[in-house]
Amino acid sequence: MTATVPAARTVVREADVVTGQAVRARTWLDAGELANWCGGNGEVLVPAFSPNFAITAGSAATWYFRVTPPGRAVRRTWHLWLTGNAAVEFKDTASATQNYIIADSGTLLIYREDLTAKSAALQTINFTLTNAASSATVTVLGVTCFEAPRITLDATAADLGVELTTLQVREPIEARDYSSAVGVALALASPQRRQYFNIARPRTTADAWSTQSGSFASILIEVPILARKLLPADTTGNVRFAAYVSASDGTTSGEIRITNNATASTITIAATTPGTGWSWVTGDFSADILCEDLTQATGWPSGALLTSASKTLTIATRRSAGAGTFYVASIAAVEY
Amino acid sequence: MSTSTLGGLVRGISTTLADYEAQAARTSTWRAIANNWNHIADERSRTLVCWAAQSTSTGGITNSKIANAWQRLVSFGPFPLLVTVDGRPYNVRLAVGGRSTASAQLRIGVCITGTAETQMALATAPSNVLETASFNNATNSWRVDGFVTLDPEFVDYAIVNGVSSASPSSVAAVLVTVEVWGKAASSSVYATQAYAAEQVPL
Repeated sequence: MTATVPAARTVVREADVVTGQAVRARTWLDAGELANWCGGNGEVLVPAFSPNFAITAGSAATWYFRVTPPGRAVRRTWHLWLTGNAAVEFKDTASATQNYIIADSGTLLIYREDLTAKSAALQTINFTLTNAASSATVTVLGVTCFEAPRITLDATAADLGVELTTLQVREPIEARDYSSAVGVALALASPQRRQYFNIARPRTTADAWSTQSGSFASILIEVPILARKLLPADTTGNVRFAAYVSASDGTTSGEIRITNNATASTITIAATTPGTGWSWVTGDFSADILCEDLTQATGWPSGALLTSASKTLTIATRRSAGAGTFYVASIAAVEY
Repeated sequence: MSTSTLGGLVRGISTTLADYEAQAARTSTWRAIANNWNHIADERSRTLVCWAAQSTSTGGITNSKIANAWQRLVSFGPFPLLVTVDGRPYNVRLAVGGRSTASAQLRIGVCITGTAETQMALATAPSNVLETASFNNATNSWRVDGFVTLDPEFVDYAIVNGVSSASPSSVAAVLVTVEVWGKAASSSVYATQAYAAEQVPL
């Protein structure tokens, strides 16, 4: 199997595909390499953010994130930027652990989470950081998680790797899975989706965002977002938001309002009596979030983030019913 | 700039084997397949950093270690960047913001691993670093945005290629950190937000 993932992308020469003319093998080899490159590079599941959260000696904190991976990754890599003279333990979603020594000048914690199965399912991932009893306070300044790249893909429905040797000069054009030019066409079914942000606080009632107010109050301000451009005439994209919510009792409800500052459009996600456990609620912002403009060097429509119509979101919460406290521990945005 | 002819996907392309078996190849179908792969690769770019302010006037990371000299506030990554057909990484669009209680500046840069300490502290910001104008403003706000390009510098990046840690290997990758630095009187500038995303070059 040689569904190799090249280090650099290729560009398929569309002008080579002309009625009445033979197409060079190289054209489809470029396409096969490009399909494997798109499939073999992982997604950033948790775009980096700064919790700026202090964990005192002998304490722990757990962050939860909502992700829908493309489904081809076999390793997730967590990178945390920490400060404080401390010994910490990192625990992943599957409860595997690893210990680290952190320096006051700043330490990059790298944790490689090797998966036991590929998955494209909507799922919650998390990590717990425990500070040893003998340590000084450790501060979590940066968190990110991304899927490590692959070097070859498999000839399976999960990977849809294209066998590149079948695209060599003088090889027959075949209609087979994972092979030849038809394999390039079939690989278009491989999911590609972008995680726009995943911003969380530790999942405790003391640390999560909380409100007892019936009026909306902002919890995240001017969040940049730029959707993936899909169709040629698209100027907007579809984004699904998820919030991890809880309440102090069984009768309190809350709402999360997301405002697109570029259009002033809003959606409101209702969390009706979520109870004292934690659960995800979701809402879709369809055809309203601006998408990339590939004629601009920055990708921003009109060229810059800092223009008069800011291309950002404002996220606010309120208590909508009951007399208790409404909590939000995590907000995620992903393409759908 | 889009590398696809249409700058977007063509709908209606089958991904079912039976639709290709014993069928004549149509030029329009195969041009669309080529177009779609080019566009998917253009839009394969990823959001690397999305850190937003949580209030208009609080939060953030301050420069508590040294006064009036460039100081690292936070570092994100390292990330393996996507690489274009000419071997250069995808560009990175950037933005950084914050507040201050004295005249202050912020920088956001994309640095090959191991080079940040030098490049982020240079008297004049190099081409891979964006720098705000001097500001003295107590409201958290975006201060500068733009994009940077990087020279390719590949390293071996350890991976596995099978589930359950099987098939350890390595790939050639351009590894970068996204750096946020500040300069002001001690503890008077706060970085409260940052953004970085890959972008296919024009």
